[in-house]
This record gives sequence, C-alpha cells and structure tokens, in this order.
Amino acid sequence: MTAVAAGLGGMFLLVAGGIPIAFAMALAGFVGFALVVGVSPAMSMVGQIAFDTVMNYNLSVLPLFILMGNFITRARLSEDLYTAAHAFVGHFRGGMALSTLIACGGFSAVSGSSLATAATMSRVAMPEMRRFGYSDSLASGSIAAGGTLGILIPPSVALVLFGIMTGNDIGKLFIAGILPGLLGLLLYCLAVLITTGLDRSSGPPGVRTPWAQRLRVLGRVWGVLFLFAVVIGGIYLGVFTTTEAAGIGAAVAAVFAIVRGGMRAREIYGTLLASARMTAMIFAILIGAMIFANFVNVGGILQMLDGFLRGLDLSPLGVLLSVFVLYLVLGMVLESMSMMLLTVPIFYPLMMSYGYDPIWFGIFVVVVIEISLITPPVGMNVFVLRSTLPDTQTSTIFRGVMPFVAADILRLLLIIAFPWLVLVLPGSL
Amino acid sequence: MQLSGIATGLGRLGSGASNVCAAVTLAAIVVLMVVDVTARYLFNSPVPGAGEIIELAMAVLVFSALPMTTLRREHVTLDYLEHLLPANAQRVVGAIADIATAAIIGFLAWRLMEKSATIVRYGDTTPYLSWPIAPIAIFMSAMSAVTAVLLAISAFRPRRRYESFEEGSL
Repeated sequence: MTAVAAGLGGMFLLVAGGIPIAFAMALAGFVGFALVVGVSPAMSMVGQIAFDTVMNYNLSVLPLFILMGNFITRARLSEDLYTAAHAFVGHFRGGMALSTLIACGGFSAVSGSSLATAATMSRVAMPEMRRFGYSDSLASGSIAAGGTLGILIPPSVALVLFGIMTGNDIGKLFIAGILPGLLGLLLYCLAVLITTGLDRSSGPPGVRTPWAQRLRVLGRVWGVLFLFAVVIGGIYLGVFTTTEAAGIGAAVAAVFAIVRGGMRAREIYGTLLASARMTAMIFAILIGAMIFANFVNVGGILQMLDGFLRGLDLSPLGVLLSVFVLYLVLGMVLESMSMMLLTVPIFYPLMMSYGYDPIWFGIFVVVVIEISLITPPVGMNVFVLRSTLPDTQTSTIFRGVMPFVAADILRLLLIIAFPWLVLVLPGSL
Repeated sequence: MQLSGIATGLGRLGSGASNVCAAVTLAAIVVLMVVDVTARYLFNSPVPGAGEIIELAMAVLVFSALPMTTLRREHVTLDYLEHLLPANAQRVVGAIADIATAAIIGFLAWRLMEKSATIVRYGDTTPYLSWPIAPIAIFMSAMSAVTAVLLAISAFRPRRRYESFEEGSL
C-alpha cells in the first residue's frame, strides 16, 4: 500500500516537474514494480511491455482512426457541416450556437478526437457568432462543449483505449456510444435554448433559410454521412472488423480530401506525418500506462481499495458515485487520455466485482472524462480554444461552458438510471 | 562553422529519413488493409500474413516517429505548474525535465536492446510468414537510443524553435 502511494506521489512529482506524463508513468511503474517484485523481473517487464504494445495488430486501429480524422479535418468539411446545420436551425433562438453543436456532432462522427473538433469549429463558428452579436461566453462555451461530443460519438479514440485496456470488443463500445452521444447533443441544444431564454440578447435568432437552399447545402455534407455509414455501418453489420473499418475509413477519407479538398502530395505527406507523430505520442502514453498498470496489479491497491469499500458497506450505486467524484477531482489535474489509462486498470475490476456491465462502464468513464475536459481548472478543450481565440478570456469560456456541464451531469444521471440507453444497440449486435 | 554545418546536414538527413519512413509505413498499413479486405470479399482470398506484416509495420511506425515527436515536445505534458515560474527558472526546470526524460528513454532503449538480444538468440520469427523479428526489435531499440541522445543535446537549445526539428536542425 505504501509502495503504491509512493508510486503515485512520485509520478505526480515527475509530471509537475515537466516530464511528459508517459515517461513519468513508465518510471514510477518500473520503480514501484522493482520495489514490490524485484529489480530483475522489473527490468525484463519494461522491455517486454514496450515490445508487445507496439507489435499489436488490434492497436493499428489507433493510427488509422487518427489518420482518418486528420484527412477529414483538412478536407474543410467543417464549413459545410456548419452551413448545413445553420440552414436548418439558424432561425431559432441561439441558432448559431445550435448549429455549432450539431456541426460538432457531425464532425465527431468521422473524427475520433475531441480537441480536433473544438479547434476546427472555433475557426468556422466563432467569427460568425461574433458578427451576429452573440455573447462571447455562449459562443466559446458552445464550441468547447461541442468538441467533447467527439469523445463519445464513434469513432472514438477514448473508447478504443478503454477496449484495449480491458479486453472488451471495440466495435461493441462504438455502437454503445451512439445513443448516449446523441443524447448529449440533444441536452446541449436544450442548454442553449435555456441559456438564450434567460438572456435573449446572448444569442439572437438568424434568418429562416428557404427549403430549396436547405436541400442544396445538405447535399454538400453527404460525404460525412457516407463515411460514417461505411465505417460504423460496416462494424455494426459485421462486414469488417473495427481495425479493418478504420483502414477503409482512412482510405475513403484520403480520397475525399484529395478529390473534394484539393489536397496535394505535400499536404498528404504532412497529414501522414502529423498522424504518425500523434500515434507515437499515444503509444508512449500507452506503454507508460501499461507499465504502471503492472505495478498497480502487484502493489495490492485493488485489494486495499476493495477492502476499504466493503468496509464502508456501500451499495453498488454508492461505489459508482464515489468513483464519479474521484474522477471529477482527478480531472482537475490530469489530462483526459492519461486519466483514462491510469484509472481504468484500478476501477474496472472493482466495478466488475460490483456487477456493472463492462460496456456500460466504458461509456460511463468516457462521459465522466468528457465532463472533465471542460471543467476548470484544467479543461483541455477550453485551453485549445483559448489558443485559437487569443482575445477571449479563459474565465469567459469557463462561464459559457457551465450550462453544458449541467447538461452533461444530467446525461450521466440518465445513463445511470436507464442503462438501457447504453446497452440496447450493442445488445442487438 | 564547418563542423556545425555537417551536423546540421546530418540532422536533416536523419530526420528526413525517419519522417519518410513513418509516413510511408502508415500509408502502407492503410493500403495493405484495403487490399486485404477487398481481396477477401472479391476473390475470397485475403492477403496471406497481412496481420503479421501490419504488426511489424506498427513497430516501425511508432519508433520512426518517436524522435520527431519527442524533439518537437509533442508528448503530453502538464505544464501549468511550470508556467507559474519566472522565465529563467522555467528554462532551467525545462532543461532538467528534458535530461530526465532523455534518461528514461535511454533506459527504455537499453531494455529493448536486451529484449532484441533474446530475440536474436532464439531466432524468433513471425508464426505464418516466418519473417525474422530481430531487425524490427533492433530498430525499436536504436530509434529509442537516438531519441534519447538527441533530446539530451537539444535540452539546452532555445525553446522557441521546436517546430524547426521537422527540418532537422537541432
């Protein structure tokens, strides 16, 4: 127990000193493992894990989905998505914020990254909303929150990582993410309607678009629908495996970026390279987390935590809520991906012993992490947004995000109350 | 002057090679997967050993991109504590963190070297195609070692020019 505490403490110290979290986890995991089991097994463990983690067929799903998202981001689809959404809901109160959210939802259906979604949308939607006199807090808040939709709506890098850490079917996790993702979009839109209802000047309605125009702009986003249908439909119908779907998706997205986005060889090379670097970054974290997880397994933290909770005599729901609170606290200091990889090895077996469904718990974890992406003081989406909008205060964005945090918590409660929302689609697989 | 010119030239060559290697490997994985799925559905004959080739390619992809990712400081770092320090102290703390990171990556390189030695000793091959695994394992170890050395060297350089590592100037 003291070993684990020391390991965790040491890791946070390294991270605070500016060492990348991947390598801090690896070092803390190695030292801890060496203290508990012995230096020699720890030595061979490090090499073995680094080797096994990269030489893995199923993990090729990560670079492939990253590549697909990067091609799509550069195919300038986000403008089309925004225009299409705006044609349909622009005339409502807060219509541009609604359009932003819907476009984010659409974008995240073909991209696995939350940060990419927020970054692209801020370029498209923010100038528009400013021009029409939207309050900065509503405008930036809706972009930051809209970005978090990407983490749950498949394809999702977070769900891939959860599936890998726990050995669950990634395809099932993807399908399970669809309904909660759509529910999130719906509740976000409600949050906009309520916010603009309370303060009508924060988001004035736009002009109604005639139907002919609507159909025309809708025709421009067929590519997104097509790509989503191929990838997720292919997984759902069992035409190909998740890994193959990612490969096909990346290829289709590349064709799309070349034909529609007019991408040249130089940009294609740049996209491949950027995706390769992102892959190396994620695998570094993955290797570090695997080494740390090995230490957690031998360090006895699971037994300790389990004994502690049994002693408290909590109901399964009580345990779940404690886990939720713990995630919120961790989310204040940790970045989402490392938080997921660090905590899942500890909480997953625990929650399984309390009888929760593995797929359901995966969605629960991702929703909680989504909340932590936009809550202060370390909301990654907020920071990304801040870097693309230099003249907006961080505090303004956080204020704008609050209604969406409320919507997220409501969604979490709904998922807890009605597990059906998560399990009905994968159950029909 | 001339020496540093040679060093820059070598740096460019090295980073160019590793970048091309990473990009080509990723593209190859995509192409291989598309061909595999298409061949399976159209001709009922998947590419033999496609899964094994992709596994080897994954190792090449990750470790050929590792030096650039690390030199460009693209690993996830929680730097909000560092930002609280005055600029001078930031530079010192940053350099120390870089050296420590380089040491950890160097350690990883050493462990991978040991692992490679075992693989060479047993002559491990992939199960279906019987391709030797040793070259890939040695590549992983060598790229980690290169990353560690370059990161340690670059620790004392000014921090504003990380993007220029793309062009290979340390």
